Amino acid sequence: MQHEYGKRGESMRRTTLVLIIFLLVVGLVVGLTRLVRSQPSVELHVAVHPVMLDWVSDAVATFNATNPLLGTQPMRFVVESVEDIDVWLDGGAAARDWTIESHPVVWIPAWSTSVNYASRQPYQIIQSSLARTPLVWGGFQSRVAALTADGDAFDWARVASAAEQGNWSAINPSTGFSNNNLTLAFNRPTQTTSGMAVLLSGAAAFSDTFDLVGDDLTLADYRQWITPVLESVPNYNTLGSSPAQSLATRGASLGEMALLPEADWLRNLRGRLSNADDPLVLSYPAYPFVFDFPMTLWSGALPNGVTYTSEQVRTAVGRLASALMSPSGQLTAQSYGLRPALGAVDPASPLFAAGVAYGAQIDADLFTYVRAPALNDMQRLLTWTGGIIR
Amino acid sequence: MRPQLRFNLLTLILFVLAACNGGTPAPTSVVSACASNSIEITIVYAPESELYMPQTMNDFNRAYAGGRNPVTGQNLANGERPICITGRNASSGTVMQGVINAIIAPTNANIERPTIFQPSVSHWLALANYQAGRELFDLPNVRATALAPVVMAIWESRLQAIRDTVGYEDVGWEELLQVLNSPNGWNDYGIAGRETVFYGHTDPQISSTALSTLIAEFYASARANGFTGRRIGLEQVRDPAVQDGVRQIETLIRHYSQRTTEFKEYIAQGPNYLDFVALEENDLIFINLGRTAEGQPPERLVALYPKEGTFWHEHPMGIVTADWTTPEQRAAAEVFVDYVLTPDVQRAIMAQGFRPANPDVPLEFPFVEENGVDLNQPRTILDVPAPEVIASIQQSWAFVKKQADILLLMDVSGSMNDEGKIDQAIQAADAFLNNMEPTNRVGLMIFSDEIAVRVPLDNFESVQEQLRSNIRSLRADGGTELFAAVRDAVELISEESDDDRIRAVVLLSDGEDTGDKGVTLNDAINAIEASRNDLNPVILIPVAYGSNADINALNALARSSATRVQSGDPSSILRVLEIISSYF
Repeated sequence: MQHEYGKRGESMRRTTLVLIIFLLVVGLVVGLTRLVRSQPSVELHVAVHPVMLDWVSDAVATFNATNPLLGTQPMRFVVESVEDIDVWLDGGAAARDWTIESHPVVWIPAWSTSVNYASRQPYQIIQSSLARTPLVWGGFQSRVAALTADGDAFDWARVASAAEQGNWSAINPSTGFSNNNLTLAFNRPTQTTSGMAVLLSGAAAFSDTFDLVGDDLTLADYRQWITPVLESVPNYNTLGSSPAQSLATRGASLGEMALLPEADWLRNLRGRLSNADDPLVLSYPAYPFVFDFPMTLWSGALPNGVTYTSEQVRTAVGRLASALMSPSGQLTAQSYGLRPALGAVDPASPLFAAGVAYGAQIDADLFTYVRAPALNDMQRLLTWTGGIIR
Repeated sequence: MRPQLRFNLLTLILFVLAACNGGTPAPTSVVSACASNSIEITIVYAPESELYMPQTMNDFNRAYAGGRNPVTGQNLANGERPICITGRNASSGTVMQGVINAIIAPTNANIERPTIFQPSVSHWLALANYQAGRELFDLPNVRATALAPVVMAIWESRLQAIRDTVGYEDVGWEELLQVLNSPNGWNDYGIAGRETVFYGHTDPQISSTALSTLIAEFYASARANGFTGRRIGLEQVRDPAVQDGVRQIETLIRHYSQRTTEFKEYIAQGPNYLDFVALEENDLIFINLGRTAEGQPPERLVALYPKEGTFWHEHPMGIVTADWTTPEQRAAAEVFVDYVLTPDVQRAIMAQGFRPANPDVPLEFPFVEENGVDLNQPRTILDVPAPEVIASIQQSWAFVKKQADILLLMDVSGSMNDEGKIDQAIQAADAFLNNMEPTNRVGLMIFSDEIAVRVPLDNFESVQEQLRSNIRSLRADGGTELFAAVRDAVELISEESDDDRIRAVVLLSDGEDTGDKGVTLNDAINAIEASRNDLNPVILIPVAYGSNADINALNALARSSATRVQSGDPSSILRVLEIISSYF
């Protein structure tokens, strides 16, 4: 019996010893984990154009959920919405106060030209394009039908002539629209990249060219032609960062037609835009203006010559870029209405598939597109525009 | 299982559970204070948002206190800090001025430093940028959170009468003015009884609805004067003919008010009180749902969306870029906006009568015809003028608004000595004069055993000091010649006042009539009703002061004048009279 007890006692001691060791190991692991986690996270800021905000935010949330480390310190990306124009207009001084000590590590503008325009900011393109989306005309079917009743196309020329006519009794006397004035919707060109792009898209249509130069923007005829278009927006302050969403909730009273990024349209095919009685009709300008969303990395150095963007940061950013450019990342982009950076749209992608009924062109040729004028010419055009749409 | 082994296993499980918990705070049902590591933000929102904002903020904070991101519903990620929001409501114009003062006049008494300013309409944000001379608000990226067009809330029978008479459905300012100018007013439209039109709106210096309405009036007048452009400018606003036109619209005004609350309560009483009022669509729904103190209105109010156009009030979330907000707070504010736009919150907002700003939320109850709304409206939206034009319209208010003749009728009977009532009444009457328009005419009449005109009606600017010194020297003594005083005051103002001004007697009374002059309640009522069909009938606004006031008699007087009794005691009388002063 004693022997039995002795063996049993020994076995219990062994069990206890194993358990204590196990607990110590678990405690060590948990303690180390918590020690690492208790350190303040390194936040790497990613500035993105509003059209990209949701897609990039989702990718970043997935990335952050993996509890990534920067060396031994926890890190996380933090996404902020930034208009391209805020970075380069007037040197970016007024709107964005990015300095060598305080700046986003990554900047994803809507338009690769913005990187050239913002040459004072040392951002280097590390991915030429993450996705693409063109500016597309959209209008409520009843208005588009009235506009094109004489067989005209729903395009820049027809919209501009209607804007000059001003009210529906002149545009098409047979319509019964109680709203006499033609109302257009796009964001303020002097403060938003998509609004600014409307000016360039119009200039390309007016000058019949893909390659805009300064003269195209200073032509008195062009400015006279586009002025009524600019004046046809009832309120530049109420459209928000997603004018299509505003149209989906407030309908034609806010804007009967609009020239907006395709992604904005596709993401908002709901509410009044999908109303069977008067749905949205899309139309692609002959001279497409395409946002290409390059990914850029801060490449400046501190005054002591030390490169701010360390190799570890570059690696983390590289991982994020890879996630965005991976096949699944590019497919996810399409679920936000964005076209893949390279290659064709997946016809089964739900937003594009749904958009076809409204006139979305899955196979639109967007590889020939409007090219930008010089920064000075752009700034002069925006200054002039500011005087028109006070 | 042996005891020691069982103990070991239990210890292990508890240890692992404790380790896995990672220090996440347990969910709490009530948030009493922000967590120490939270990003704290503040909001000042439009008064009408009080219907949903406190609950929204509480739910938002509670989610974070429970370790959950309220937008994604997921547990907080590693390094993600909770956000805690606190806020209150205030009139949009007052807050806008407070934010500007914080920039340019930091020693001013009215200072606001919120992270988020949610006015009713983006006009205020554009004005703030303009007046501060800097981009306090990033207008292109400000998001709408609750939609409400400005409408004319009008009794269904009145609107139908107008449509039947003119022979078409699409009506607006033009047709409303036709009623005013018709020789027999409403009687020419088949409505018996009162001929004159009663209209009301709030103060455009502080109220969004009133500002939008005043801009719409300028548009209507400019068009009537031959303006064919899209957007009115300074030229139109400064045109005397256009201003005359606005003045003519304003002649419809029965009285003004600082807050929409007064008008909601007034009009809910029925067609005898007001014919139409400028309101946000949600207020109209609120009234039709019987949510005012009056309960269900006697008839359905319907929304008239003026054919000339109106404005959307979109309740934009203006995130302030100023030295009192950090980038982190601004990012946190964006998260709160994301939350307000989530479908669940949008449905809660819709239940209060606002159209959702998230198109994923379809319009459902209370957006039904029974509540007087038309979901196909508004069809015509006015172009928003440039900020300097809006500022000019606001500045014009002082000379286009309807002027008023006001007789302050104060009870100075002996009972006013009780509980310090007379002292508080003197202070309140003094405050009543503080915001008075200099071009209004004001007089002072007092009564106890005797009735005396202390200061005859005259331009406020010239009698202000006389009024104040008389008020300060009031002494309480004697009985209460209430009915005789009311009769005399009404007759006095009827005789001495112009017909194109608001004519009002503001009565402050603390007790029953004890008079011996033989004047009855009916005599007083008859005096009031004698002016009923004047272009501007005399209105009596009784204030029941203290618990001994004769509520029944005051109610009868108020009814005859189509007004409501206001109640006050020594602690509230100052505020009551301040509110009444905003009527003029």
